[in-house]
Amino acid sequence: MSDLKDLSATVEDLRSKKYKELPSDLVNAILAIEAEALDSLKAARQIERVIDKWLSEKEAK
Amino acid sequence: MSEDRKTIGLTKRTRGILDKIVEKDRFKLGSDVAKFALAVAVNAGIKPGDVDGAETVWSTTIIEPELRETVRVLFPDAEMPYRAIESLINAGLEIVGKHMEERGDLVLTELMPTRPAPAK
Amino acid sequence: MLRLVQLRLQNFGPYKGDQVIDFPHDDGVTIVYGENMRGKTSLLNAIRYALFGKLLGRGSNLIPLHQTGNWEAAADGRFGFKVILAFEHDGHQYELTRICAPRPGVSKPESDADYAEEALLRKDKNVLGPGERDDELARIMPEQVSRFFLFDGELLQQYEELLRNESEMGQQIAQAIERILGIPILTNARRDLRELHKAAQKQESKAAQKDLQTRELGNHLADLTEQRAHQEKELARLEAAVAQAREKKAALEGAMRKSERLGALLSERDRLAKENGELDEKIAAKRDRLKEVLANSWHGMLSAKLNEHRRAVATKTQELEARAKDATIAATLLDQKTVALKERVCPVCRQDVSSEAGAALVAEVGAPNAADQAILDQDELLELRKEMAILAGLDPRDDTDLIRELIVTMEDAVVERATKLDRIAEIEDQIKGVDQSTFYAQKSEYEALIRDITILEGGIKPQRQKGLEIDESIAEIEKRLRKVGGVEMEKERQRSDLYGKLHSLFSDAVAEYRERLRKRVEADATSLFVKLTSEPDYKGLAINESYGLSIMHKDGHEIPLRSAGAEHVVALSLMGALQKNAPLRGPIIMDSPLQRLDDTHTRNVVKALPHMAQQVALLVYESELKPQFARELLLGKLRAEYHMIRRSARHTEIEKGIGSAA
Repeated sequence: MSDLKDLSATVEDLRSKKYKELPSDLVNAILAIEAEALDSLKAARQIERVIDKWLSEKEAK
Repeated sequence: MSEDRKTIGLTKRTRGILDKIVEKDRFKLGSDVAKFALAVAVNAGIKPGDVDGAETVWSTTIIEPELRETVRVLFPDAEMPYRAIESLINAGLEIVGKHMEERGDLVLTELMPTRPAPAK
Repeated sequence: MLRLVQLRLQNFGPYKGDQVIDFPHDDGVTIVYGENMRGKTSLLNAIRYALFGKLLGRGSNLIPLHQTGNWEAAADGRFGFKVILAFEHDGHQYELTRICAPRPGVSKPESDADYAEEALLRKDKNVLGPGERDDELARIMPEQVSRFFLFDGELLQQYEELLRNESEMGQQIAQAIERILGIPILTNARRDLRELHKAAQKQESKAAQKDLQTRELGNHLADLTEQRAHQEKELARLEAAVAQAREKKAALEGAMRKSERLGALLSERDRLAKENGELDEKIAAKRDRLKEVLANSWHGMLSAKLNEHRRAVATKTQELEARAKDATIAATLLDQKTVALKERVCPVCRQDVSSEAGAALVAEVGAPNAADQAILDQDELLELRKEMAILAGLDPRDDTDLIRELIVTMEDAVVERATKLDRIAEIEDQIKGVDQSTFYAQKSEYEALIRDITILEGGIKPQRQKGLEIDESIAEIEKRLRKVGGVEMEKERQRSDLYGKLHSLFSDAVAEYRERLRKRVEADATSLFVKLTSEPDYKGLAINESYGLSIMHKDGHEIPLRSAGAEHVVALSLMGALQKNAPLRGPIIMDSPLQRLDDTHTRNVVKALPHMAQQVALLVYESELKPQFARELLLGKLRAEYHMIRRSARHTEIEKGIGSAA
């Protein structure tokens, strides 16, 4: 969503300054989920799935 | 010489006037009204005379000695002070009655003598 | 960006049959001219109905469905109404139809219960099912956002609440504004990540408990997470209670503002009644005093006469005393004359008395003289002296001045009392039928709410502190687990750690973004305000954290509150700025925004309209904005004009152009 550009920019800015260890694609995925979500339960579940996937991928490496 | 009166009476008319005044609740007692009326009559230049058809309302004890002496002093020709007082009271009430009729109300300050301007 | 394409009304209010407004595709302004009786308000209601699906009139009063359908159509047997809004968003074409029709089987509806409402949403020619429909609308046109598209008197009032910085309503609006600015995306992320983090920490404690080496730490961790759960529950309870109290407070403030006038009148009335009570006492006291003094009024009333008498007696006494003196002299002379007669020699000059002199002397001696008078006088003098004594004994008291003063004071008090009674009667008349007990109840409820909020907030601080402490302890344990734990535990720990960091990131992002946005909204609002205001000394607008607004004078200080017109302009500036910065952009529809503005501001606002949103629709009275004037100001940006035509009392049509209003 083009409207998210500003939001993402702010978050990315912070991430790169204070939270370098966090991957930016993960952060963007969370933003996208929240932007689309209407139901907080759904959002939380989706975020969980994304994180689990990322963690297992990391482990595999 | 007959004796002076022992009671003070009012005519039917002046009795009516007195009742009207009392109703206004400006005076504590009816006798206070009577004395006020007396003063009004004296200031109006009324001389004591006779009262016809007066029915007793008060005993003469309502008149304090000082007032009696004052009347005596002001009207030395009146041989019977209480009779004089009775006539002055009735005359005074007539004056006040007329005033109430004309004015539509009891305006005490108009019945009292006007103050001369204070000397500088 | 949401863009209106067409609004179609069917038998809505005075709009009989099909009435259409086509919104131009190009950016710019559409103006609809109309008079109130012809249906300007109804048009607004139709738009509200289209956007929110609710038929709410001014002040959130429900309008009965049964009365909304066109009456002439109803007379012809056609009941109900329809509103169709066609719009585009994100490359898709939508058509939202809201219908209100008699229930099946009802041929002649008589009340709202006889109607059923329905909403249909078509997306690119596909009709969406009810679930999808609701989701879609909530996504692209949530009410919290779309209410800001519609700039009517009600919204203006809400913006004006923001200008009253302390008001509860203002804070609620501030929250609403944050919502349209997209902050919820971040705050939701923050909230979700926190929940996920806590769940991960629980998992972590379970894993730690399984392992003998880490069991103790695991138990401790489990314990702490449970403590935290309790603390958070308690905190949530307190915060919910505060939120509820604040909502009540906001509602009360609104209601109380309405009854402010009533409050002022009641206070005045109560004060006057009290004063009259005091006057009554004063009058009664004076009355009694007067009676006392009147009992002896004759003293003073006769004092003049007595003084006169006293003077007369004094004069007569003097006269008599003078005569007595003369009498004494006369008696002496008589003696001398008598001796002279007898001895025929004058005792004074010792000369002989001649025969003529002697004859004269005889006559004189025989005549009545002052001495005889003197005897009579003596009696009178005695009487007079007695009278003087009596007069001296009389009390010279004269209370006539006091009587006069008492009477005057009493009369003044009576007049004052009557005046106050009149005013009380006037007030009673004004507040007739108004519920006074409600007002007093509101007041005490408000005060109770403030107390409650203070207490609750007092409890919240320590709870938060407790939460932070628990978090710290948990972090400590996790640190130690990292050193000691096995592989399984490590996985959980890593997950928990990740969540923790993500939560921190988004937490910081909320504050950061909020601040950025606020600054940006402030800048945009300022640039718009400067275009709209007629006052060259105004430098711009300042917006604080709760979206409270103040005007900044060029010399640096804030301008305190101002005219309705200026508030209007400030609200418009904020609205334009919000529109620019909201992630969800849409049209602005304004209902008579120019009424309270003078010519200069009107000109400025109309010229600025194209800058406030890409699509602007204006519903105005012809007296509010002359069509020719609007054309001059907007030039090419004026894309369409419509006007309302009254066919009959219950039949209005919308036509393109400005009709007879030239």
